[in-house]
Amino acid sequence: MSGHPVLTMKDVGVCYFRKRGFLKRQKIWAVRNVSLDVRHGETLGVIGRNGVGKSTMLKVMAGIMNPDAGVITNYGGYSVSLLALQVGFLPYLTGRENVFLSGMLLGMTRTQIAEKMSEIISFSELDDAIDYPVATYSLGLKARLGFSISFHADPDVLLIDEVLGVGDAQFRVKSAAAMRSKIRSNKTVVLVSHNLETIEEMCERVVWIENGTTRAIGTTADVLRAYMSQVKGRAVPDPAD
Amino acid sequence: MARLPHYVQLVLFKAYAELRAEATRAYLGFLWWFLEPVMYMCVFYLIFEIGLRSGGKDFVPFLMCGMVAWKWFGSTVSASAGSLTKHAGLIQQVYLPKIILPLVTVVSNTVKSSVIMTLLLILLVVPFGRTPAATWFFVPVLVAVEFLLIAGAAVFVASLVPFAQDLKLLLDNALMMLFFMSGIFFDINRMPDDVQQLLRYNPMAVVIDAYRSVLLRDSLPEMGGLVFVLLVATFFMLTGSAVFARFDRVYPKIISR
Repeated sequence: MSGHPVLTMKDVGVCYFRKRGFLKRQKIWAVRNVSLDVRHGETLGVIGRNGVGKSTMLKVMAGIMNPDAGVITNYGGYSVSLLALQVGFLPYLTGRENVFLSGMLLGMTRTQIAEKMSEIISFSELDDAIDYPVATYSLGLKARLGFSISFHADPDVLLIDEVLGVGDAQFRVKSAAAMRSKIRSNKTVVLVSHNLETIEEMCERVVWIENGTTRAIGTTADVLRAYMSQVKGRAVPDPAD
Repeated sequence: MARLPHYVQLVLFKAYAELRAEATRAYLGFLWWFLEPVMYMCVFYLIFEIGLRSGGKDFVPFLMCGMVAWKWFGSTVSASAGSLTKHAGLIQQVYLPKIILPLVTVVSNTVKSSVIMTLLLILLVVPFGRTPAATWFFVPVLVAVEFLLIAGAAVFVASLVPFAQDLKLLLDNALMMLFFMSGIFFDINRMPDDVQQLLRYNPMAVVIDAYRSVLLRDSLPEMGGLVFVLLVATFFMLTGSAVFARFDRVYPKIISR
């Protein structure tokens, strides 16, 4: 099922400058040395502890940021974007107007949005509320609409940072199920998750990031085994720390 | 650049959405687009006409031409300076050509200003009894020239402010200085020649004088001045777009949420 590479990263690094006193700056590498490849139709899992640069790495993949070191190659102009919810929502506009605004920000054209409108509305289960201002929505309603728009945006390569389902219990199950079936389909997905069961269930391959560096990349079983043994080793407090 | 039509649509729709949101939010809605500039002009009218008694019979139309032209420029440039920072969250979530953001501000402010501009023309005829002359047909040209100047300046400042937010403070003071040097309260034609020369390096002084020439003096503006304004506009636009092109995927990193 997995085929040719759609996106590769080679020795990618991203640094930030942190302000240190008057006119002084300190360079911090959020991502140091990441190399990986994303193949057509696969689901690539990304694991690693908090703050190792996974989210920054996704931003580089999505073309939001340029890497400061290394090269990222997109083989053939694939659209790559983050699953971002409620992008650009303006509270005083109606749900329908926000579908247009948010959808266009996510890269859909007006015509595409118009075509998908009824699908987006019915998936969100908003009914008449779609023509009320979003400011009158409950958090749950807003989350449903936000999810429904992003779910229908459908880039060539979808980058997911933890979120699978949103909203109240019932909608959470429904949205997560829809997302899972999208991930399992022949869609190219990069999935960041701390939930190793999700990773094991969904991903064909996994990349393990540590301190902004690719520690391992390979089949899900291999990488998870290596990761688990290291995590277990850490569970015992190290007196040297 | 295959995405260009999409981005044009995005600028227009985002501008429309912001205007809609603004009109819906306030109790008086879009009436504020009239009220705010009218109140703004009233303040200066009261100060100069009644307070300082420095006006004359024609002072109010004179002042209004200057204020209307300035308000469009000043509020757009000032607002677009913060346009990237305002959308910090957005540009961390999706890729957008950042030049879109100041352009949205330019478009939405232009719509608001067109309301005021129309009001100005009506006021000149009805209470102030001016007869529209043939030179009034030149107004659209001046509007186009000012639009290009505003778009250029907006893109230019928006491209630089994210690198040092201090620039925003500097800009607001620079705008205030320009405000007093653009001949809104005085006629630059009555200044000594050497001062006039100097003042005409300020493109807004040239634009404002051109509006007055067309609307109040029934004569065409001096074309050399307008060419100068267009050159300044081009310089700003080219420099600003070059900075945007170079740092398009760097801004999300330097603008923290």
